[in-house]
Amino acid sequence: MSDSDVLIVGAGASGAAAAWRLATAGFSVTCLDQGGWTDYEAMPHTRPDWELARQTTHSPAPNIRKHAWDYPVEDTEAAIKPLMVNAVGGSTLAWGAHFPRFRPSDFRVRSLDGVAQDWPFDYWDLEPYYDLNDRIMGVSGIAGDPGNPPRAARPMPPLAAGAGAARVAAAFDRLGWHWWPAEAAIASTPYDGDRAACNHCGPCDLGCPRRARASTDVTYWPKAIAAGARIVTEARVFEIETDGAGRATGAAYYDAAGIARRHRAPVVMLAANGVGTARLMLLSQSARHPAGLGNAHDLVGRHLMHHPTGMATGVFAEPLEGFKGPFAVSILCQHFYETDPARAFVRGFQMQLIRSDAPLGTAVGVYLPRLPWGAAHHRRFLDVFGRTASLTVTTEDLPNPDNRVVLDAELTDTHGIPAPKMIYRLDDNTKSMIAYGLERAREALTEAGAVDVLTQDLVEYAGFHLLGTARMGHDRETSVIDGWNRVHDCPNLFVIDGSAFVTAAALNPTPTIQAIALRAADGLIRNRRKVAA
Amino acid sequence: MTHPLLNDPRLAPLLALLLPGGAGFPSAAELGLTSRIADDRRLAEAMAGLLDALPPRVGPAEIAAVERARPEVFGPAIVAVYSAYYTHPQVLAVIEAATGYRAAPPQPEGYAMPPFDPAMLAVPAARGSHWRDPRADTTETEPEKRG
Repeated sequence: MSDSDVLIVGAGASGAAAAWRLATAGFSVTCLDQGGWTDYEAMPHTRPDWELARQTTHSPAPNIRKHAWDYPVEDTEAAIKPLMVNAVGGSTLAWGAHFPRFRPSDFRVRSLDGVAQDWPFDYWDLEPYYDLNDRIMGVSGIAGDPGNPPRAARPMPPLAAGAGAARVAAAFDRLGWHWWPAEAAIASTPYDGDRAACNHCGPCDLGCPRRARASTDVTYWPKAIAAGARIVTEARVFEIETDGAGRATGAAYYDAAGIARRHRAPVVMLAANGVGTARLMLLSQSARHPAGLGNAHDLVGRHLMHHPTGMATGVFAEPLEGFKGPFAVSILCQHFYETDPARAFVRGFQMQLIRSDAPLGTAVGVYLPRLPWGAAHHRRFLDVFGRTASLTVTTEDLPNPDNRVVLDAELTDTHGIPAPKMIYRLDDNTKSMIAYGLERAREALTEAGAVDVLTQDLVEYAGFHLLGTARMGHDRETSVIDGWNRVHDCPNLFVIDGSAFVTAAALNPTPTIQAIALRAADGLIRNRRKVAA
Repeated sequence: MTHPLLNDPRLAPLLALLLPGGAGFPSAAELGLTSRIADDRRLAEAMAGLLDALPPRVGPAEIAAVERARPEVFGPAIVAVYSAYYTHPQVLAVIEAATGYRAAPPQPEGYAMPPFDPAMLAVPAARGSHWRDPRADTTETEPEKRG
């Protein structure tokens, strides 16, 4: 007896996409999410203390925010701290909406560069899903980039560049470095009914009351619900249940009142991000899965990947009004993306232009060091406020089995469920890449006219991209799931979030996460009877 | 609920040292930040930690010593002071007058910006296709730099 055809755990980027695809194909879909819906009337954007909310109650870091819907993440052994949102929409509620696709080489790093593993599919297998996802999320950009495969006309034109991006783009041109307008899941024109055009207010990470910046609670979920999908909010899953044969039968969860409940389904999909999904798989121990689901070879939780990021910030003598415009998206440089044997590292990085911060962010030091206190404070504030442009050096993090998610021995969430612990350190390849990238970023910003350039070797609070902890592969001894996202040891259980990634590329992962989720849903649709049996 | 910090006589002088007036900006002590901080539990606890770490007589040298020796105490406290200061309307008004930043929350007005100018793309758009196609790439590399 089943409650739904498909149960999805997590209503974020991937869970929403899969729910929509499956519901429109006639499946009955239920999604359990430990959070609730965002109240768009209660966002802090119209409050005078909005920047304080950004630092505290609306921080993307669950360990700072400490919302009732969150779970703690033990991160004392993690060089990069976790960022995530636990609510309908998931981390798309607090992102910058930079929306680049992976490049074809990203799926073939073993064949091309002799590192890590190739993916079970290639760029062109995902291409139709990228296109579909771009339309539903609503992407602004411009086709014609000769540095990437040709793609369809973008749904909307690029976002405004701004003075900082114009300066840095011209500098890239003089240096001979290729760049292109960043693709963004932000509406530059009115889109899809109720989404207004971006009005350049800046802090996309706080959410978007205009619904210009995409999040899956405003893109996929209304369509999925219209097609019959159902969300149960404030439902904290603590176990994926299995039968005597080891197949998934559904999930056990605590409802909003703290009562333990069960939802049964012949197919279960995990979409709880690279930390939450690994945690659930490790929690779900049984006689057939004594080390946790899919963990017969001690791989669940391992190969945790981020995008280790350094940052160079140029201070310009002239006002750039960098506080105007979506903070994370304007232009992108992939000139140093591919392996060059002349460099001291393998693979490469992207440089993404970041605009200036608002007053409090400038003072506490997000892109620049914290401003000094005392008599020098105000002069320094005026010298830098609105006059900065930053370049991230966002690197490809190669999989390392020692970087991992485990269950913490002591820390628990409010229901007493063991919390995840992240163990993560940077390797020498990444450190070399960041150092080289920061030199290039300094070169570009100086060429652009910056009078001072300051660098951060590693942005600590940059752990949004939680990848690789239940990776794909053909070989069940070296991977957790197959090329259609099915757990090798439990074929009616799917992992459809960033946990599935074989490698991380050096690009923001959400378009790829969602394309893979749509593809996995299509695989299930085609093999419905086989999987359910 | 107001934090007992509100009645601590050391708080206002400390604020005056951390953020004195200058360059057109008011001093933190002039703005009534004491009650603003005391009303916010997160800010108050951070400031209380700093006050506990400071000696009875406080000057710039004593503050600097705590900044060096106790960054885990000083960091949250200075962030608390900046948080209260840079969300104060008088401070935002100074910033508006000096920079063009609007002394208002981000919404509903936002900002007007000129649309993207495709002429910016003259140089990059003129490049030939140069992405790495794995179907054609036969580059041989060292077999393993890492596993």
